Amino acid sequence: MGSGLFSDKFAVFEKSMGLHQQRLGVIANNVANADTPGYQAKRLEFEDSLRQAVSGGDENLTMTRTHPNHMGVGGDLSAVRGEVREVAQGGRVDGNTVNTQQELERLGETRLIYRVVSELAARKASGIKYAITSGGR
Amino acid sequence: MDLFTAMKVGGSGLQAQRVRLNLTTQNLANINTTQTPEGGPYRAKRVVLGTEQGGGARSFEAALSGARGPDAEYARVREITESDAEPKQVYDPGHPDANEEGYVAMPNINRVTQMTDLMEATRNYKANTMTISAAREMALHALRIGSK
Repeated sequence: MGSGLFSDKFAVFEKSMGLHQQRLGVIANNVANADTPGYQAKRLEFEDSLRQAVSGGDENLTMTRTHPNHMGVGGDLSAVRGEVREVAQGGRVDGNTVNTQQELERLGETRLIYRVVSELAARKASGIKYAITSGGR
Repeated sequence: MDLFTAMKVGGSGLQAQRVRLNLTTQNLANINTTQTPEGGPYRAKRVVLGTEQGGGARSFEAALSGARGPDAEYARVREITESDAEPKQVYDPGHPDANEEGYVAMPNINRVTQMTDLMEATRNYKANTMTISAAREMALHALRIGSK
């Protein structure tokens, strides 16, 4: 993690917001296809790989970078991808596995997290602006 | 998939549910219709939905990095089918369409099924409006970064 004014935090915010946007897209797909026979609901999963990329690997197995040229242990943030998983269980007779209530629950969670992250990014940005304008003068 | 595509997917869901809602209304309105242009009593109609993968323009860079994420899946009306259930024979000798024994062929429409269909379509319609408003809200929140 860089510690300068424009630290890696923005990269984390960007990644997190991008992934949550994609998750919203997957939820929109599921809700729109709630009546399509044979449609399998999908989930986008990225929490584990994002956490690993941010915290630098396994929580129990952290390594310290003692030289700037050392390679990152956890992996690089830009390589984090959401993984699409199909829900095969709990379907209706027509083979559709969308549970609208569950999708709306996820929708609420996604928009809340997105809101929090964008708020953090906005505060970070206004902090930088404050510093650039030397305290708003 | 970006937020605008998510809104479009929600819109496809709204469209599909509205077709379903219209057909249910049509079925309930024609529950006593004994004459149709095709002859015979009215037959219940229902919609069969399908999924359309949203291709769209895909930039080379995005494809290369895989950054575009999952594809959009639009809900589309695949076909509108007519019920092939046998008409209900109702004894009503006074009816102009009654046969020699006094029976009238009435549409075989179940009110309860139609009403539950109506409720489900309304509920799903609302769920789609919620995904659209979530996408809108998220886009507005992202716009606030750097504006203060």
